[in-house]
Amino acid sequence: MNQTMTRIKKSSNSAPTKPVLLVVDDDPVFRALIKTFASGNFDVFENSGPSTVDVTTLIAADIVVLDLNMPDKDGIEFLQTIATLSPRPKLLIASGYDPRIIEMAKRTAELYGMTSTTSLKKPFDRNSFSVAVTDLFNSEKSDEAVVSSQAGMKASADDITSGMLAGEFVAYYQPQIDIQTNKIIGIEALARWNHPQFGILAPATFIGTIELSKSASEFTIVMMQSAMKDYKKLAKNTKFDGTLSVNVPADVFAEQDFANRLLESIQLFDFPPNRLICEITERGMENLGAETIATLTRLKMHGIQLSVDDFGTGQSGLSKIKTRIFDEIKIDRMFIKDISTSASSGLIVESVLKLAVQTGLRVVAEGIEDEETLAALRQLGCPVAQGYLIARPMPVSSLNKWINEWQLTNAGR
Amino acid sequence: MLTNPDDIFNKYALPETLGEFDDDLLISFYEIFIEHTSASWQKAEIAAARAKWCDVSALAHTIKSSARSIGAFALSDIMSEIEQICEDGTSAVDKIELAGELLARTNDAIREQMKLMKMLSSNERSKE
Repeated sequence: MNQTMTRIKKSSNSAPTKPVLLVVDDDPVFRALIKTFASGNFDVFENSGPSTVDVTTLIAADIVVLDLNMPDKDGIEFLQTIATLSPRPKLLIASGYDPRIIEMAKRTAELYGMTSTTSLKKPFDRNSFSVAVTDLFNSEKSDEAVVSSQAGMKASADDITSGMLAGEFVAYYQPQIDIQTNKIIGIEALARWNHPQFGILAPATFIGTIELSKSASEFTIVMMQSAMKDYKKLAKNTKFDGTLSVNVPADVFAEQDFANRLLESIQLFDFPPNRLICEITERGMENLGAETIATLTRLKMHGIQLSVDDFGTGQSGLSKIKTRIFDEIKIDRMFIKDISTSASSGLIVESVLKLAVQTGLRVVAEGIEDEETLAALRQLGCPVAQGYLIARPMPVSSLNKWINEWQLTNAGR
Repeated sequence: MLTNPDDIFNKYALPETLGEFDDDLLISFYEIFIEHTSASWQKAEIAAARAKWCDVSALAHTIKSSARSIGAFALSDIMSEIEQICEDGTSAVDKIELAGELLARTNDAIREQMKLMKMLSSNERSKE
């Protein structure tokens, strides 16, 4: 297994140190300004461009303040390097570009998994910088890529095959609730690797390799079977009768044998097909071939529901989704997370909801992390919610307990 | 070229940006600005002479923001114009000369202010 960069954790018995703020900006005036603004609360390190950044400093950084326009390597290119860190530092994009470009850069960072990202238009003064940095530093947004402190690694195809043979891949589950009634209406199965050496690893460490390998279809079937088995236990213990969502890589749908194997699994576990939802990402849908459409149609004919995951990150549009027999769209977290503060995100979600209702699609809002966001979605009439505010992904044993507690707490609401 | 002296260099802008009025700190910022901007502008003039207008745009972009922070508003405005004109490779040859003159006037005004601050500071010290 190739270990990539892992941040050095400050040990609890070491001398107290300030958090580290790294400035990457070719403009010495701004580097000096940021140093003046931040040195009271941070150990500030400065670099005139990505190529001069010392890896040790980058790994130790709690916050990276990144300019976008730099001569040797621009800020967007550097985001790819930051994305390999685990855990990733929080990011402040500070640029003199047009706000639309800054917003695009921020969204790019979020797509790379840097969920704790904010931006500041240059020039800025001490007050606006301090507010931005303080809010960023205090934010506790989730980093989906990080489950354990050893997650900064990329697995090889051989590692994954060994892990599959050893039964090390397990499903974690995140509940979905009806926003109006608080009733649990579904669970999403999310793959985790219970690695003998590194503990529970998040998908970022292995999904990319799996999707490019020949074992993607086998992996998906193994996960589906495991989830169906867990579902049966859960239904017995908690009376849960909602849906089970499972992610399926777009290329797997193109494999001729996949539909047969899935239908065999349903029979094997005596699983009600209409409670199974296969999720395909919107980006994965962009170039659907005849084989994929044939598989989707077959699954639909057998009563399996189809969902478009990460809606808003691709180019599909609702009209195409409707003609492609989908039942559900899951609005990507990047639109949801700032819905209560960003007028544009609010407008986008509102428009999607209106159109979805007209076309008969169910809408799930992903990535809900605070009460304000949930309240805003409730106000907009969004039917289903999923996110850390409700529950983090958890193993089936914890889910069992969680469902019982949730049902007790929310009974009669 | 007629430009309001306050737009050439507004001495209140940097203390406002910094939230501090310490003369030594302000002087250090002015020195960094003059050194960096002069070097960047020299590169921009070379790029302009070679008709590398996209490079000129990127350099003007850098100067634009720091000029505004320091209080060099007219310089920031012309850099913004140059950035926009040149971003798709269009020539801004007529603006280059103008910007060069403006930069020289800005630097002179900042040096004048630094001289004044140093003088006042030395008077203060001699009183102590």
